[in-house]
Amino acid sequence: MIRDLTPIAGRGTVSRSTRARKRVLAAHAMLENCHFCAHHCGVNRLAGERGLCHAGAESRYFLAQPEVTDELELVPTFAIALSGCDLRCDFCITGAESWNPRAGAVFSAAEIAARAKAALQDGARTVMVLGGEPTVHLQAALELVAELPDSARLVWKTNAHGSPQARRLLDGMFDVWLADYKFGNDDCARRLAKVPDYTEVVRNNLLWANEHSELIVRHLLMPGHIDCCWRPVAEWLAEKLPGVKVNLRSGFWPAWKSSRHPELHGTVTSGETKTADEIARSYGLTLVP
Amino acid sequence: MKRKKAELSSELLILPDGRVLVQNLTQPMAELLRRLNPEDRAITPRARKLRKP
Repeated sequence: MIRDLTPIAGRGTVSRSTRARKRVLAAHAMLENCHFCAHHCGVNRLAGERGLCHAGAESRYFLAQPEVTDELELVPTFAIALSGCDLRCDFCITGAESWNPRAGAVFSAAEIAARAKAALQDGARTVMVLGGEPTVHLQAALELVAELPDSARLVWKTNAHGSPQARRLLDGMFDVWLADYKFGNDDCARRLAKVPDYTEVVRNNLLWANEHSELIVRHLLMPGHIDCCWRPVAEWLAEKLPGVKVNLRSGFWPAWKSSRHPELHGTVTSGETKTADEIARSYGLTLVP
Repeated sequence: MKRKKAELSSELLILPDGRVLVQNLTQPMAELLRRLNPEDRAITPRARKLRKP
């Protein structure tokens, strides 16, 4: 296993919060030439330029509350959803906020950290940073980490479309990567989320995350995409990440701009769910609830 | 509708076949759904209470 930078807290060295504080400066500097995500727009967000995610220098959030939606081993969690995303998934369930980085309220790390700490005291097991896509607000996420106790179990819920530069700043910051692997091929990714080179980017991020943190991979079953998307995802996970935890989610609903795609007009059928489960079993995947 | 900062929020989609899909599930909503269907294996373990709900 490869570990970079300083050792983790509790071993007589620099604590996570201290390291996060230092990385905030580096992340802020990167806003001048943004390469947080794999689009590598290179825009100067500090000067008002906007890349594909449309995010500026300010971070906003549209939800911060204790939740029990996610994987059983992670809940209750205090979930913080940052506005804006670098993908354009037509089926996004939070499309209005994920496609608009100006949605919601201005993010204050100190304020949100105070609420997260209160939730931890009240029984939350984790603090989860999500979006939209939190990678496009990496500087804000690191500010939050710097404010949280080193003992807190932190979850990075991501679309796994970050850049190598983002990974370097994230190394050692989050205990768990809860990462989507949405599309089994680049054609579906391009058509449904307007993203090129999806497969290579996501696979590199998943392999890295597995080496540098705990990893749970999510796949949202989509109607009509069992053979083109789920099957190749399952095959790759079985081959390259054997034993990794996989959450196969069947709760697709035709949100946002799903109506642009005929196959996304409805929900996943019971037959598709059954087939998907059989695929998971045939590849010996470790499914988690 | 303008949302108060500390307000909790969950969204439900009730399908014609009786399935209920949910996002941003909070513990109070999980508890409500558990009461409606105690045999739901996805909901029941999520209905555990925080110490101070």
